[in-house]
Amino acid sequence: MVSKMKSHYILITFALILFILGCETYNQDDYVEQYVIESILTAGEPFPPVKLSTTLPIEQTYSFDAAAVQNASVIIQKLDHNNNVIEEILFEESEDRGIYIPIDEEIIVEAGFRYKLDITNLPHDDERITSTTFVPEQPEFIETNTLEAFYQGDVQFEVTFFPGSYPGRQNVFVATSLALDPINFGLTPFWEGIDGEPFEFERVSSGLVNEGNYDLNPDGSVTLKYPWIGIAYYGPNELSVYTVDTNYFDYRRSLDVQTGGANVSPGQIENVLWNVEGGIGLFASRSGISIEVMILNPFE
Amino acid sequence: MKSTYSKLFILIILCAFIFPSSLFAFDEQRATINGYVTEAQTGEAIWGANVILDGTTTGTSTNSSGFYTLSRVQPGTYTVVFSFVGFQDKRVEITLEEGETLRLDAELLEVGLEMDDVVVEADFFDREERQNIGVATVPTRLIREVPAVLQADVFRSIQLLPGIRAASDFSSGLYIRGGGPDQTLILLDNTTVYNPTHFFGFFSTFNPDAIRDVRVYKGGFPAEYGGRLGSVVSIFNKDGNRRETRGTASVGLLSSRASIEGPYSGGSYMFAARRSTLEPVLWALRSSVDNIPDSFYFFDLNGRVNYDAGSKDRLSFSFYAGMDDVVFPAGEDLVLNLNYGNLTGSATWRRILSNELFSKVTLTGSRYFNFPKFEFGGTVFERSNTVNDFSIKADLEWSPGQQHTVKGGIWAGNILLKLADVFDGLETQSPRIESQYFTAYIQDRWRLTPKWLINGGLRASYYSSGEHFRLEPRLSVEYRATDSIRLQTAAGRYYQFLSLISNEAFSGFDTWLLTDDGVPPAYGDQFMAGVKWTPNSTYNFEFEVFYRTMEQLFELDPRIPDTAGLDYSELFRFGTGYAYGAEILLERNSGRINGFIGYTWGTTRREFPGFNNNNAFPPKFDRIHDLNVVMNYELSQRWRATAVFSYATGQAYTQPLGRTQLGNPFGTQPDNPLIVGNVNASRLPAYHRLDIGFTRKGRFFDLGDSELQLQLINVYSRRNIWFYQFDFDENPVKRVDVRMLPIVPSITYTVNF
Repeated sequence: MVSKMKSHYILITFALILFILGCETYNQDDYVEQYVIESILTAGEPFPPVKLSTTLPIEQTYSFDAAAVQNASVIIQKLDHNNNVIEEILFEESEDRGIYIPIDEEIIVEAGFRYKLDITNLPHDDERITSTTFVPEQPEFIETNTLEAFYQGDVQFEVTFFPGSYPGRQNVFVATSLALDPINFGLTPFWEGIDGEPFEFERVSSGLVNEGNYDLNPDGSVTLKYPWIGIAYYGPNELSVYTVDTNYFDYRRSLDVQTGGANVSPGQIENVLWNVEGGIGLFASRSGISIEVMILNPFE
Repeated sequence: MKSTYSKLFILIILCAFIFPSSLFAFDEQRATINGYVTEAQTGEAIWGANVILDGTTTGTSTNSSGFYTLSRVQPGTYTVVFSFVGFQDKRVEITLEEGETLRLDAELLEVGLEMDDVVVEADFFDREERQNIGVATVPTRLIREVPAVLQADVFRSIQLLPGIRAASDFSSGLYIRGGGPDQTLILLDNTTVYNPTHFFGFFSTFNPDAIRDVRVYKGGFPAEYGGRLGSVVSIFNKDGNRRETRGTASVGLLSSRASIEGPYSGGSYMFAARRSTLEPVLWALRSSVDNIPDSFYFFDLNGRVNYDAGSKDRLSFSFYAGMDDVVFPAGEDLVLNLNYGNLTGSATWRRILSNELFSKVTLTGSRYFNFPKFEFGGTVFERSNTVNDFSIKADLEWSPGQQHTVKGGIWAGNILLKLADVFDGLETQSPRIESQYFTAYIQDRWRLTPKWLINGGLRASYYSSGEHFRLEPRLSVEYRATDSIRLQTAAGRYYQFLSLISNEAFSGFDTWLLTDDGVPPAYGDQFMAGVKWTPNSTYNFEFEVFYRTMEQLFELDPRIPDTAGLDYSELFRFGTGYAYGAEILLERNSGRINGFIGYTWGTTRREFPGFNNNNAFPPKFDRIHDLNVVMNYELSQRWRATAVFSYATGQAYTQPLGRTQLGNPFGTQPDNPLIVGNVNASRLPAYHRLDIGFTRKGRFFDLGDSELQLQLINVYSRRNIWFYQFDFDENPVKRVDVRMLPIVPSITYTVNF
């Protein structure tokens, strides 16, 4: 009898342990609204607008207008190497809701400097959004092997440039082509076969490419051979190579994984890496070089 | 510290070889019985057959070569009983003299179907074989009879066992007790197979016609196995029929198979081939459906030749070759070509060194290759991805008495991983990792008393890449409460020196990575306990609980878009994990209706710094409940029906909570980042599916026996959800269900001659 009772106790204890373990909580959390910023600086160009909005629930129809945040105070500070403010760029709200434009449109973004976005006067007093970007050093164009070539011909565009450096890591490039006359020139065969409207391919870009892919030339420059897949239209194209900052690098590499990665199970989604305090979004920068080339159609 | 490890390592090696050989000759007054146990009809070795001296507590079981030793037996007259589930017992009267060594080979006759008496031995899992905790064996009959999508498949059958899960209808990958496929060591004739898949993961590479044994160590495996955190699947090719020449030919919807086996003057041989037969289907589809591959096929070849070099020596040579090849014009100016596969070979020498000492030396070679090539818009991307692993294994099995079976061995080899990417004529990366590895183990199966059995061991592993040396203690204890009840527990430390880049949706690009400087091996501890109750020969009940940890899990960081210029250690993210659960198996082994029910309750978590707010999350394959019911019904002498019902909690997925939209400075279309909360905190709808099959036995023009199999997969065509996609062309975002298989018929015709 005692033995039987012991057995029951063991069983009950065991069942209890299982029950407790089975109650491990990992629940679906609820949607929380967040501020969203957007501004991408390009070295050598005027400051672009700063867009300010909020996230929207997934089931809601998205429009920037519906998500826009008005009446905020927006400022971008230029910092020195000791993070002291050396210049302030003030923004004002434009006629478009949630879009803030620089009051002085002549101020140029300078490569090699750190800029801090600071947004206050948000709907709640204690709210503040900040984010900092380091504008990559300006690459220096040296030469290109040709300015005109047949698509998929023997000669492929090569751009040679001094890449500069980025603090703490190797340079990361994005190569992009912009069709300058898509009306009069058609799509290349590969892009013609891709689903989508032709205008969607007027600008096509590579993914993030590490500088480590390229051997440095003896003078320290890099020669980038432009792949044919990166050209969507025949005719005049602007080919560009940009060096991107860490904010864009983190954003793009984590955003790409949201739709699946080499070893990510389908349906598993991780948040994007946002380098923003008090909200999410992208305050990033880039520096680049561009050349205009002519892509000839070999079938004509 | 390293010096201390080195000394210890040398000591273990010495123990493994010197210690047994110095002691095996004592106690000359007692007698020894040893020999091989084989199937009477084919001469195939039986792994795990019981050999017992009737009326005593003396007994043992055969090893993977079918060999047994009973040493230190008191002289006298005995009845030796050989038994194995599914086979008739064999009883042999013997008389042993002092100091005698009796070679006693036994042939066991398979039990037939005796419908008049409604006696059917099903041997779903040979239960005597499954003596140790966490071990299951899968008979080839189960593999052939269970309804399977398009073709019988080894791993699909293994997935029915409790504790083992499938990621989806499309994946044959084994997710065992919370571990991913790379945490399971796959061995074919003691040779590691690095990508055991065909059809990009849909099927496993193993041809059921060529296979003799499939043993699954779900956890707590002994020191003789290692190199993986979680589990081991050890598969052995058939030896080949030693009595007569037999063959089989099988025609199916997806593939056709043929095999031949038989004796020759020196031993036996077996060759099996399988090839996909999709060409007519592709040809028919090409005229009406876009994007049909220009060519697609897979094949595999298995072979084994045994040579009996006297009564004490046996040699065997085994090989496997398999490949998948597809050429797929995915669009205008876009061609995909993928070619991947495995080559393995092994040569094994088994020798009875003495009355009490059995040895096995194996040379192994394994090559995995993967050559994808994409041509898009005149830009070519090519990859060459190979694993070459050559090794030597030596094992000694020493049975100095009725209480101890000591095993020791070494496994040393060289593994070379090469990966070379060429994009647009430019070599973008060409990492080459090579490592010499050296492992040694020693273990003792100690029958303390007739009721207590202890199996303890130690394994030492060294990898030269990164100079990692690790020790892995293992222990299992069994208590026989009664003749029918066994209580068991086990614990151990396990290390893994490899990591796999793979995806449950597609195994065609699998890439292995090794530990190195700054990349230490992953490790984990396993604890488990269970009870096995066999009240009679008809029913068997098993219950096991387990808990395991995973530390220093190293896997390719999915957020690294380009590896060029990065240090090797920068490629990885290092995480932790744990899993626990309970498994129940209920079998009915005989009778007109037989089968088994397997149920698993479990939880699995992973945690990686910087992901999911540094919180643990369930991987997609985590399922709380998992139930499989397999039933056989003998309709008549000719007809048999089989049904498999599966139910599982829906898999984990991440529910997007919010969204935003950001302009893309390098494109024309905006980005649509999703806002998520806890990763994989939601569940897909529950998975369930019923498969049925009918087998009709007959004759094929008096040339041989035939079997016609008619099967229906997913009888009620439940479109289980694989995962959700989100369509941003719609506003609001539209969730799209990506579903798994609908109802799929299958027909196979097999002739055995």
